[in-house]
Amino acid sequence: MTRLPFSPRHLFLMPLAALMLLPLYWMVLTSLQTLPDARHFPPHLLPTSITWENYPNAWNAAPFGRFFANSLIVTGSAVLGNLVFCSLAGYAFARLRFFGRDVIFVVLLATLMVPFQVVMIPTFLIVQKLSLADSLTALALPNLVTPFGIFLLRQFFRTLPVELEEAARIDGCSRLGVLWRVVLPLSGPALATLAVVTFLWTWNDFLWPLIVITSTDHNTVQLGLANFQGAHLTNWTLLMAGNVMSLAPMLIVFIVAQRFFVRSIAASGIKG
Amino acid sequence: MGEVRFDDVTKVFGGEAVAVDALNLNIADGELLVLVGPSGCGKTTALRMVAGLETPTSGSIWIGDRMVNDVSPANRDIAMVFQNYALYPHMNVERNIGFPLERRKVPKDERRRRVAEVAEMLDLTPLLRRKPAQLSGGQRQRVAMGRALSREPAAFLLDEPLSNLDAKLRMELRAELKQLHARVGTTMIYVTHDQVEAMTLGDRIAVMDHGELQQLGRPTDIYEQPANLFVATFIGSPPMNIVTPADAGLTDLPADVQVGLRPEALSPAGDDGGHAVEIGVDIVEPLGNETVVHGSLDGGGKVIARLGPRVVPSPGERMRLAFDRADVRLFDAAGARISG
Repeated sequence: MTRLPFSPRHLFLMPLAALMLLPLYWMVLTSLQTLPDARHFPPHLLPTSITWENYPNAWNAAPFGRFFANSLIVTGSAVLGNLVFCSLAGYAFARLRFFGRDVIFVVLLATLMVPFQVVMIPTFLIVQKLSLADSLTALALPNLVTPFGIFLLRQFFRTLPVELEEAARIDGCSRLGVLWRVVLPLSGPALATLAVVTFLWTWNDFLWPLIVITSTDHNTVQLGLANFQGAHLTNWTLLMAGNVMSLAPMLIVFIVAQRFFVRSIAASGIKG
Repeated sequence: MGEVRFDDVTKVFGGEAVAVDALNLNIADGELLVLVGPSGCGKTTALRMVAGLETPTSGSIWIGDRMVNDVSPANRDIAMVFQNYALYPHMNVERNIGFPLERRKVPKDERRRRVAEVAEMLDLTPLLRRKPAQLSGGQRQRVAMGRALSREPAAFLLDEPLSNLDAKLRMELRAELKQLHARVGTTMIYVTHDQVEAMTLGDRIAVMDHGELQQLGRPTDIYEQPANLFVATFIGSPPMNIVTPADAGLTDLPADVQVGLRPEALSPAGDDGGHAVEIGVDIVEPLGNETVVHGSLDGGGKVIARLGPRVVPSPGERMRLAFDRADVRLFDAAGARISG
């Protein structure tokens, strides 16, 4: 890591960064206060006292261990599914020649513009017909492959030199072999991006679990957190403590994936 | 065996663009054949059809005694070296070279032995642990050759393998390649647009233009006896001069005949006697070992002559360049060679 020299732009960027961090700071601050302190008006910008008890209290207020496990299962499946299926579909759209390829791709892109609210009822009906309502499968299944993921990977695959794939085919790889041994190892940045985006999206998803899940056993973290928010009273300190805990996996995923963003395909086997 | 045959092969792209037009070509086992021509002449398409990366629109391609039109690239028993080398960036040199063996389930020990042998042959042994990005252009080229060599295929296909290198390196590797071919004795098809590479490397040269084979023959035959105007002006640098019979003073010939004279067939002459063209000197290029003189004919045509190093005319000067009648090549109005 090298430090950037100070530049006048930073005078502009630093207040913006502070503005971005403010809600996060507020969340952490609230999670460390007692409810009366948190509800104090005017609010204290600096903590007057710190208490850790909101964390065990929030964790024990509902079976959060279970919720975390549920969320991890669903999110993990979605990430894995997207990596596998979007790679396959993206590669087909990028490199294979088949009848109607470009038309199908345009239609696929068009579905990116359909908001979730439009398809959520039909999707629910399908899930119900399959007798999957109120199951973790119902949460994961519709998210296993996304048009966005296919689009992202297709665009990336097209930037790889086609000679690499031709060389691999001559060297004895099948089409799938080419994808597995040459294309995917060179697609680290794109795959990491897709993994992170899918993780964030699925982990934070609230609406779909809310529709599909009815039993507490199948709650995700986000559904569990909503329990702290009542019609008449919101337990802000517990809610914020829960939020901080729910944030942890995302931070971990982001930090891990960051290494792949940076380590791009600067190392190229093509002339240059 | 490593014989490769094009049997009336045509390739049409998108229903209209004819890349290769009814190509018939027989490459003998162990031969180094150079496919040469200007860009877009169909030479690379022809090579890619042998590799299986393109499918012929009609006709058939044979490797050994097998018709390979429907055989996948992996099963054609060929190896290819790409213009940009196409080394796998995520693998080190050792794995790059061993990759074709790895994919063909060659046992690890055997693989390691072959890779070591090839690396030794190409002076790559100290570089085996490096990634392609850590290699120079010449080293990458060698690795690409190594990857092709490791498997002992029936034929090597080389698509302008030296064109990304600087002139000095290109000359060195050209010589190495020729030695290599002599050593392994495998059939090689070498595509280039560089006629010097074609002349120096090829056992035989196939000159292509507009998807059609113009001439096939040994380098000296192609140079001495070009089949048509295209071959005559494409092979040789500077190219063959084409002048009218009147310019050359060959009044016994019909007026529509085109007269071809190699630049080295011309020499400074006295004022009288023999065959000669007369030029006004435009540009003089003293190269040390020879002087290349560009001149204009009175009729408007251009003539280039390669003269001895001590002949240094000045621009604007008039010169008489003599030639031997035996060095004249004649072409008809359509460009086909006629005897005489």
